[in-house]
Amino acid sequence: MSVVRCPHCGTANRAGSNFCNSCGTELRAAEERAADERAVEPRRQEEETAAEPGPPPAATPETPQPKEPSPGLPAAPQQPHGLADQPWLRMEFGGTDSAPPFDEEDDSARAATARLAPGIQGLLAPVRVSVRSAGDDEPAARPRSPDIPAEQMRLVRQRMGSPPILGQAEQLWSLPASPDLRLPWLFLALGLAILLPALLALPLPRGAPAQWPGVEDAFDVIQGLPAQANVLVYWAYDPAAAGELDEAALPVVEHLLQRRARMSVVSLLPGGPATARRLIERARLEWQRSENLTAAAESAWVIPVQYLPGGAAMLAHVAQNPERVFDAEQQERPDLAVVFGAQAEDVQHWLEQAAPLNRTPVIAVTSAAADPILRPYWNSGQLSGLVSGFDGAYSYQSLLADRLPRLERSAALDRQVVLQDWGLAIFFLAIVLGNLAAMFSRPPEP
Amino acid sequence: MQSSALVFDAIGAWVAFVFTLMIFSALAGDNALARLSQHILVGASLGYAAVLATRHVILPRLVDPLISGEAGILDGWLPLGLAASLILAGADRIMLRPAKPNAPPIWRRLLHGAGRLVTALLLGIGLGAGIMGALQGTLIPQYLRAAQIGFVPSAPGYLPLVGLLTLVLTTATLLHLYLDPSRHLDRQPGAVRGLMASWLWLGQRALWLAAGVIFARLAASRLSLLIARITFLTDMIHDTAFWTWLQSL
Repeated sequence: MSVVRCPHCGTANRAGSNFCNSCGTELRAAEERAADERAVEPRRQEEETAAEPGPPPAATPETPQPKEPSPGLPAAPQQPHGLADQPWLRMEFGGTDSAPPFDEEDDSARAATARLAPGIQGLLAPVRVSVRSAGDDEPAARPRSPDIPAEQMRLVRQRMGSPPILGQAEQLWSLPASPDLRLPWLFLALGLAILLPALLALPLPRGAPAQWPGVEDAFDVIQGLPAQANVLVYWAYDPAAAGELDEAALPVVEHLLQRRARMSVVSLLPGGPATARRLIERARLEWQRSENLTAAAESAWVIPVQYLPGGAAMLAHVAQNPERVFDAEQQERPDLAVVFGAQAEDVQHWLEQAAPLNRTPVIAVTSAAADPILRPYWNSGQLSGLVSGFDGAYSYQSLLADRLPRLERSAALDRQVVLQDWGLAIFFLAIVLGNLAAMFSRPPEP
Repeated sequence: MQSSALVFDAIGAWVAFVFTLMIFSALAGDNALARLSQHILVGASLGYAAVLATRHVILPRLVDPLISGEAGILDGWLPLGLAASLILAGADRIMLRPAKPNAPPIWRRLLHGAGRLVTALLLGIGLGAGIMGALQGTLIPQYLRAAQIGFVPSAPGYLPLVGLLTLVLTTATLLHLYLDPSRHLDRQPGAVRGLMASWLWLGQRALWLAAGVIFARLAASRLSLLIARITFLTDMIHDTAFWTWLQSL
């Protein structure tokens, strides 16, 4: 399809367009110039042919020849006015379009390649309305308001040509008085507030995070497990969320090991089993150190970790047929299910697919972001315990240290609390300063 | 054996250190290092998942039982046939030239039909399990819990108040989401209009409050992830000889 390039912005517009679709620049002059060049080219070729007499050039498949050439007359004056520069209005048009030229002898090919309605594209193209009367050779001047500058007209056409924005007021002016949010500075402040205390190990004062409801319930459920209880673990996080979830899961796994629970781990994530093995090994080392156990005493104790693809629908299979999942001769009904999930949906999937089938108490260990969504499940009793985020981990570690003095609170968690306080302080400062700036800045002028 | 494991651990830690810095460089703007690290991360994750599925699922649960003759038709040959038809139908669509729309060969129509059958099975089972799970695990228990709050005589005194508040805020939020005051309340009597406007106002504030709580916990969660990465970097720096030399100064 022939196009005309906008001299202002370079956008390819359909040939025959009056204005650029992108910036509104007038294209008529550019197209007339291109049409003049196209008209001059055949005449130049004819003059060269007349100057060098010889046999006429042979027809090539790429250049279809006119069916009844009239050598004495130029083609353009025979066309009605408007069709010379709008060839798609002609019934036989087919040369410059993307549709391949059809062979007249092959009716099927003609039917396949011919247009559904010849010339209908001309209705969509801008048709130039002639203001000249018949026989008038002088072109009439186009009406143009002399009061409106050309640049302003271009802006108006550009705005009229852009798609409308529905449902909200379009902002036509800038807001120089309103404060801008400088995100890079916020990132820098946040990064430095965490990096400097972590790098220099500054001894900073801190307060203990609040203990949320559900943490003590989780502790009591695990503490009340019989020796060598069967615990089914659904591991629903991978290294992407391990930075937060490892700290929350570590005290719970340590507690399960201390209670001599027989854990069986299943994960639907490819990175889940490796993450589970790494954290369980870390918890086992901590537990051995605190209990003065030798590695040989626990070497025979293997915790099975299984990866199962198939999505949430596989959880029903896990709940109904654990012996097939873990290849055990006889897998007893689990006494407890623990879900380590990065998102609320992971816990919801277990509560919806597996918990109604095996009727096992469920404890959820999740990220802080999942807590508000899962809180109703704890309120309704579907969750027997809920440990979320670094503050939940801190509370659980505190319970472990208070009631089981052999297990020490990890220094990493203490450092996490200090750095979390610094980061939250930066958040708080940014919110306060942003609101103050918005309150005391000049309102935008309409 | 022990020393080689330590060497691999050290190499892995330094590779993770470099890749963490490359990812963090995206904060300064889009750049080639950040894009390269993202491409490597995605490629390595997909390759690891493929190897894991092959070693832990396809070989031990499908191929080995079929070879040893332990698998039956339902738990061996049928899954193999469904998987093969889905893979072949997908490969035909991806790798071969598209057939003419009017007259594709009969074998291609059969192949595509088999692929659609497997896809329909997967989608249907997944959706059925999801809908039934949402009913039995979320909707019915949550509804029963909300309905029972006011009818438990031994419950603490604040629980009926919580139930009433839950009812008011839930209905107000739903009304705010579904009612347009300019369209639905204009022709109502003044008293009804005032009551509904107050209810909608309450629903809007309830939505703001819930969004604020969720956003606050989300910020805390992402802050924990950032702290974990930065402490990983600082721990690596603390282990270097350069840091020891700096401290000696």
